[in-house]
Amino acid sequence: MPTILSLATDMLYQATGVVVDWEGPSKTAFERDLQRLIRDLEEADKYITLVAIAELAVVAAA
Amino acid sequence: MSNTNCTPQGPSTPPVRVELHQLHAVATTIFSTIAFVEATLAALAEQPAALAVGLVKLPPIIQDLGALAKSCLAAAANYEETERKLIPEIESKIAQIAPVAAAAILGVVNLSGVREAAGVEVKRIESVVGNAARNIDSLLTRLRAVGTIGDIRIEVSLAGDEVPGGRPGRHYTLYLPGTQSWSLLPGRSVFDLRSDLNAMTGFTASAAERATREALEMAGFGSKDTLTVVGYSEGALVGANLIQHGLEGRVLGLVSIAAPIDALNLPTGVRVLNLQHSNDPVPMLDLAPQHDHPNWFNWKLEPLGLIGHSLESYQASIDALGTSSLASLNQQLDGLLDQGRVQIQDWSATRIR
Repeated sequence: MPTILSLATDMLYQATGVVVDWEGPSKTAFERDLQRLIRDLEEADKYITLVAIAELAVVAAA
Repeated sequence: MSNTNCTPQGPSTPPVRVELHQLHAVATTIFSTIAFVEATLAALAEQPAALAVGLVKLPPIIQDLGALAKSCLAAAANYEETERKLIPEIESKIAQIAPVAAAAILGVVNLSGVREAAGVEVKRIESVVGNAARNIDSLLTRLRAVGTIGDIRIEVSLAGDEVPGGRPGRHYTLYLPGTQSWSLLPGRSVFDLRSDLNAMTGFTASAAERATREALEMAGFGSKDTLTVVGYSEGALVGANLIQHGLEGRVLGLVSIAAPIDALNLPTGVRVLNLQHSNDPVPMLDLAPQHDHPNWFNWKLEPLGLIGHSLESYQASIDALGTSSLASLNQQLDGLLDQGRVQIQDWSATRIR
């Protein structure tokens, strides 16, 4: 089941698809920022999901 | 279609040449992303460890996403006049996604049940005598001061002065600020995201509402007195909840700026002046149509910018009103405000840990 954050990441991937068509010297910077934010979101999603599952497991075991 | 410039790295960076419809698509996509990231935080409200990780990881991402989207919108604001007709399209797109995002957030919040019962502490920190606010401009100026001096401002008519409402007691004007803290974890300020969500869901009285009620009582508001509430965003919602839940004295009116109050049913005797920007997503969070009631005056302001939620943007829109529109707006305040000198009290309102 996708997490809310993974849906958010998918939306940013869509945005990068649009930026591909842009032209100009700062296009690279904009793309780089978007890709960094995608990576940050994916990393945050991974950590939050792991901790959330662990938390649920602890509650279930108690 | 003409090109425009988008400079996400700041004005010194050479601009990107981009088609306007692409700018439109990227800006709306980034705003939708922010809504989903915020929904994630709300969903973690009852899992403290996961929420703690989220509160470390996600706010910087939200901030960067916002900066990226704003840089595109700032570029849009620099369009040539002939291209300005495209801006409403972007606004319209944002207006379309806002209720969907709001529904997602509220749905998650309802499921996770963000509730609070923490105690609150209010203290009067300053009291001076000054002129009463007599028009919409001075109300906004006072609202901007609330949150910098204290958390709540109460102005009380002086003894013996004639008061609006024609009661034997005094008239109180209550000023409530917008959200001061965007953390879901209980913090110092009662006007935070936690109170915001409580006010929206209406499960229990939010900490902000309880603190405001206590401050009013400590300021002496009683059954013979009258009250006008002036609030911005969360402050207006908290004020509306306070009115809906009942007060000892008589409430004359509510001046609500940029708040999702349309789903609330206030007593019919309370006059409501409901100011909203047509492109402000926050008042749409209640997903309710505006009231059609003789005592409920809705005023749609035309924003000067693309996203019009800040109090400064409302001030700018009011400053830009023509003389007759401004007079008409101020006319709605007749009978709600003091005309002489008042005691101006600033109160701090904090949670007790």
